[in-house]
Amino acid sequence: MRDLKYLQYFEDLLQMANNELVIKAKGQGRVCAAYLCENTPEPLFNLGNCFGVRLFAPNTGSMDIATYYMGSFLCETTRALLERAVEGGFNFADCVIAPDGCTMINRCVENMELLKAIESENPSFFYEHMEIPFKADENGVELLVLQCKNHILNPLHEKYGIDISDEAIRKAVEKHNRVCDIINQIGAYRKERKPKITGYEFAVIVLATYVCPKDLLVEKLEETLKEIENRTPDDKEYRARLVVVGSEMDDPEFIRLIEECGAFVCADRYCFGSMPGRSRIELNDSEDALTQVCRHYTYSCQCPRQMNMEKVYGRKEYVGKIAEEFKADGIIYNQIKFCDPWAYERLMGSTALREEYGYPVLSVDRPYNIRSSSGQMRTRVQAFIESIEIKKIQGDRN
Amino acid sequence: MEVQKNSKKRAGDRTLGCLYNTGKVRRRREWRGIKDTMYDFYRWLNLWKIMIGVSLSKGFIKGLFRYRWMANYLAVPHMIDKFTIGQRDETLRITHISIGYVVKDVALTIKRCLRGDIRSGNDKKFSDRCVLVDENAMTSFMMGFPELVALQREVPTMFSANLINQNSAVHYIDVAQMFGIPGDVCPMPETEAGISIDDDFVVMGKCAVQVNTTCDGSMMGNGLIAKRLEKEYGIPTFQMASPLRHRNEDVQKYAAEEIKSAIAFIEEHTGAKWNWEAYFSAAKRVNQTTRNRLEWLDINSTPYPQFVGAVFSLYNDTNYMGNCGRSEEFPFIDEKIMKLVRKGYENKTMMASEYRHRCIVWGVQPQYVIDMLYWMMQCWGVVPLTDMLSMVIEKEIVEEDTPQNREQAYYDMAYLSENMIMRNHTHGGYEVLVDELWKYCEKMNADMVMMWEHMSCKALTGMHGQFEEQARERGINLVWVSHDLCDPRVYSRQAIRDQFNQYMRTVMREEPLDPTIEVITDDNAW
Amino acid sequence: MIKIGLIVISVIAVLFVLLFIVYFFNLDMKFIVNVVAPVLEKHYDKRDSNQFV
Repeated sequence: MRDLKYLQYFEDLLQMANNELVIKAKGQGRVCAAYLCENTPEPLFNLGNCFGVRLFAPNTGSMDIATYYMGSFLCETTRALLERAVEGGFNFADCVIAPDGCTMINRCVENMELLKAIESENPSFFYEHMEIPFKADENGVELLVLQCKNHILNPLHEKYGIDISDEAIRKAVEKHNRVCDIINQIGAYRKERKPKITGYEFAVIVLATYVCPKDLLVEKLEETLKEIENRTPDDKEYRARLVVVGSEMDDPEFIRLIEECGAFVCADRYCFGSMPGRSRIELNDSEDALTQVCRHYTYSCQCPRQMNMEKVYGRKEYVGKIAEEFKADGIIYNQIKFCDPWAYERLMGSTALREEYGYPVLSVDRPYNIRSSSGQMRTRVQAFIESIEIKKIQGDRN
Repeated sequence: MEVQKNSKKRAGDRTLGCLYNTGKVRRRREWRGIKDTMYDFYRWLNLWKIMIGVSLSKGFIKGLFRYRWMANYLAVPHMIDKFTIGQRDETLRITHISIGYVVKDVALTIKRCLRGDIRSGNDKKFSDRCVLVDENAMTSFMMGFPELVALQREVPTMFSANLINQNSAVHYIDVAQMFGIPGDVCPMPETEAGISIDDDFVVMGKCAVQVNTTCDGSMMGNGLIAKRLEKEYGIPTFQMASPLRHRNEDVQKYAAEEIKSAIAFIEEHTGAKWNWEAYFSAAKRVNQTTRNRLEWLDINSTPYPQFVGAVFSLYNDTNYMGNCGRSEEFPFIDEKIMKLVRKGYENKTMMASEYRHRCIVWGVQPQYVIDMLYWMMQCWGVVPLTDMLSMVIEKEIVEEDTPQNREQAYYDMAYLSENMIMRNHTHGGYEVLVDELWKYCEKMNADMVMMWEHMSCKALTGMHGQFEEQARERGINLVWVSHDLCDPRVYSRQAIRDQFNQYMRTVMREEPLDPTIEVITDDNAW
Repeated sequence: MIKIGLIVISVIAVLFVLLFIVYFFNLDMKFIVNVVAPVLEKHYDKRDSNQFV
């Protein structure tokens, strides 16, 4: 396929957290709300003059300082983020808002706070830690509403005068949905037998929507969608169509590695992926927007921290549905090394998808930056793809 | 700190190294002088009485041959010997009375487990009165169900088994890892997951309640356990959430609603009705426990601490979590201990020949080196004033039955749950983990902190650098002692003690009080 | 009567001495370690278990 016109542009945006669009937005005098975790209601950071950026630490190398402060057993994502903060990579932020989504995110941001790692020039800079629900139910929705008010909306309003009215939230959701629609339309091309977009390209585009001010990106996204509509796909069969499932993954190189082995990543169910992170938020007029946003995040959450059994079983059903819808041949369950929630979810998910849903599953843990040990991962992915091919051949013979 | 000498000479064995060899059990029991040896002998007889009582109970023989973890209980007397190392006078009695009650409580749990278990006693009628409760749950939501039995089946299977036999978890950890759980997660929930995968839990109960209280790993392991309970054995499970930022006002309603839902779930599945009278009676006992514990801590803040060590935390653990005011027996035990604590304080009883350092023990203790705190005292003269697991409930809950208090009671039960042992410090922000430690150091006049670094406990290691820097700023001697909670293959017992030895020799430049136990050949021991 | 009393006292004294020897030399634990535990461990290792995730 011909290269996408803006692929290089999107890739460049992913080289550092303080990317071109963040600099541009800050230059316009806007407030940058940095946040972590897919469970934080994203549209609430895009109110009025504020824009949200989900923190990531591309091209991470050494994590020595963070390892001293947090030990070597904390997940590499959180150590990479702390290291980047200490290096001054997040100084552009006007606040950091973090949920206690997992212990490690909490400790990462607390260390940032205690070390005064983010040296913002803004005297109003603040940190907020918020509780998020453990279960998908109305008690959880109520909790999330209160937490969003106390730890996102009120601080943004009090410190920066951000408009936090119902109307402003509705506008933000509308913009959010526009981006989601584009991403989902692009993503739908992955269902085709000969897809018009690769898994890697899609991962780059989706990641950009998390780490850039969305309104400054939307034009390029729309153009890219049109370009893909008219794109001629490669006339080749992939060795295997794979769904990638797992934890925080902000490294499209991992997807590239899988595809370099001859597979096609047809669906992405990981934090920083499009499912469920880019699903539309539907609002009605009978209830306030904040409650509806919170309900969306509470019920659509696919994070293993949601502990009620409906969710425990539901997460496997969700992956099974995606695999069916995107015509997958296999599933890769990946976990960032040292992530406790996904350590267990990976076992339960991979077992259920293999035994109850009949999919071949590769279960792996990976480093934050895949380039730090790509050889091992490549071997495992290659072996997995071969095993799928052998099964296909054996299936044809039978 | 100034060295505090014991004016009383210790009767019996002066050094303790002679008790150990390389075997699984000790060469002989400690000679404590006639009076204290006879007391210890009496307690030993009493312990065997309890153990024989359990072994005559329904389903015991079947259970012994069915469940691998059951064999550990034959080693209970060995565990008691670990707790009483070097002790005499009042403190020996305090330890025996408190751990005696813990043993009795666990023995009762085993008896009940085997009675109701479908593979052992198979007493269906009894089983239907039981609610399986997560071992990490503060059983506050059972305080108003006097006719039901809250059964924490993980306690004998995992928690106390590892106190008795250091290798009790190894088989189950291997099973869990064989199925794909990585080796870097906390081995405690990993062991529990392994027990479930290996089908080595008793199967009983009308329903089950799980909690998220300790950590991410524990919460996630529960999903795996609940799946087997529901899908294979048809036992419905309820997951009760406790908010993490438990000191914040804006999470309390959420917590209280969760308690209400748990109670409704239990009512629905067991047919039992919540009994307010029983609840408020239990609440009175919980408050009594709190008052007593705070007084013991006050005495530990003086130069003559009395109730210390692992037994202190285990007793608190059993009293709050497993019991939570439901047992009418606990207040009497509390009273007995209180009398001895006061007497010991008045008599200026000391537990070692001298106290060189007053130490607060922070972090999560390794299950398999449970005698470490007594060893610190005997070997180095470092007296453990208290530990993180014992710094638990601090406020009293409402205990009068009024309409207003009934609503408040849900918040109180939530408060108890949120402040469950360990998690009240490991979750809720760095303030409760780091800042509060320094407050306790000041309050208890401690010059040393022994920091258990449970290597796979993310909440603790996540603050490693902060502890280190802040201790340095405050001039507190901070000793890091790493371990892997219940897997002795990662850090052996001596490897754990050696970290302390090295600190005392190289940083403090001190010589041991009892050099015969600086190295103990107990790596093969139970 | 005195004879019975003496017998009872003697039995108690012998029992006491025996039990004290068992207690002091840790014979209870030594017996379990050397006799009971190995039998049980072998039994557990032989048993098939119904493993399930």
